[in-house]
Amino acid sequence: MKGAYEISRYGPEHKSQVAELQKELWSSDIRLNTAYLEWKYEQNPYLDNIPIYLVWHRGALVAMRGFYGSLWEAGRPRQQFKVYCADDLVIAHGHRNRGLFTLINRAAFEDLPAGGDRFAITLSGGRTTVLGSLTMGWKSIGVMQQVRRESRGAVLARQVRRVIGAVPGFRKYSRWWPAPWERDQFARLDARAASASSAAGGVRLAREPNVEAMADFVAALEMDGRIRHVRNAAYFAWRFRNPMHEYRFLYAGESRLTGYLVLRRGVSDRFDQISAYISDWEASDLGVKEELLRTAIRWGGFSHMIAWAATLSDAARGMLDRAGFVDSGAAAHGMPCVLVRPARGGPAEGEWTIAGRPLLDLASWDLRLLYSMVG
Amino acid sequence: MANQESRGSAQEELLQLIASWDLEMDGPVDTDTPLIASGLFDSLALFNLVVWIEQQVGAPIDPTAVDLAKEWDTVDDIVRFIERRRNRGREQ
Repeated sequence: MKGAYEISRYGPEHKSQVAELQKELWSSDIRLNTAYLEWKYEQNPYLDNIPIYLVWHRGALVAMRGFYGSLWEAGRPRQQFKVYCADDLVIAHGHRNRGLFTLINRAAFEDLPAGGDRFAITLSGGRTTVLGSLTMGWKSIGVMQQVRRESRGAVLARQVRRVIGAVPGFRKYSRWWPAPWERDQFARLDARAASASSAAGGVRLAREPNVEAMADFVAALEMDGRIRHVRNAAYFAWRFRNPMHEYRFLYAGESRLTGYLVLRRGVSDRFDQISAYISDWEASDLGVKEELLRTAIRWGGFSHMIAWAATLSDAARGMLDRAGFVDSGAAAHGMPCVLVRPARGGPAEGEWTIAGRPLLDLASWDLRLLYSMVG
Repeated sequence: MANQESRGSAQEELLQLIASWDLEMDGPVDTDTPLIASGLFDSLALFNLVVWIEQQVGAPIDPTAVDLAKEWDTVDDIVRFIERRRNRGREQ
């Protein structure tokens, strides 16, 4: 049976077939899938090739694995590294449990062009993908310690979803079905921000990223040497055009930023459209940082908010604790996690380091939800 | 004796479960058939396996903390893993 499958590299002529296949993972909307494919791979600022691997069966596209480019920095002085991020694995119904996961990943790592560093990373893997990856040389750097803040309305909505999910055929959709009071939460955020007095700690809301100001602000932050994304203007300009997400930006400071907090919500019907995710959060001092968080909560009145806490400072985690964020409970399954593995010809496990930092030690990393496609 | 019966029962249950997953296999799966190193187990089969192991152990499993190729490669390995986890749970 495996002989009946053929693997090829993606070409522009495959775009519509990929968008159709990804109805199983990305969204049911082909136009949205096409826009996401173009944004993530064609407009990626770090790669001029598109390492997407496709599996065909009798002329039909049945599986895909993509790698998009990312730029990281670490050490003092800073060293930069281009890294392939593995993502977007999908295998069509009827072709699962046929060894395609192993087949496509093996083929990809034998073929990945030079241009990435010695390692590849995966930041957004679901439980199934993570499990498969663990059998193919990927290792977890640790649990991202997802924390969640829920309103009383969220608890009620969950009970409603449980009832809907008990109806045959509705389970898949009930997971992310928004209750009426969970819809249009960004609209509520916009309205409250517009009517808020300017005395709200000097915080203001924007629908578009101020990429230059954000990049200047990040560049001025002290670099502690941990491994982190290069968040420059090119990165921000690309990252916040993700068509699967809608973003809002809370800024502190007048002529120069003293901090920012980025919120996002999903627009795909395949994923969580209910929760507001804290994608990124930076400030020049702890007072500004806490004010940004409090303002986001006050203006948004969100039923669900989610953040990653694993590599935050103790002070930032304390702010989340005081704001009512609690562990989401996913950590017992080791999720969500970030996986790394050597690219082709990479080093042995004992030498998995970047700028002298051991990759399998969570303390080596400064990770943001923004780096993951979840953010 | 009781332990051996329990192990045999778990092996039998797991073999039946694997047979129900419609995997593409060259021959029958036995208790020492490589499941992971051979690539027989796809990610979906692994997902189902984790769910079954969690039921057997009675606690969530963090698979990222397990060397799957060593500790879950065969039915025998998996049953031994479950026994270790149960024993660890009793000791705590």
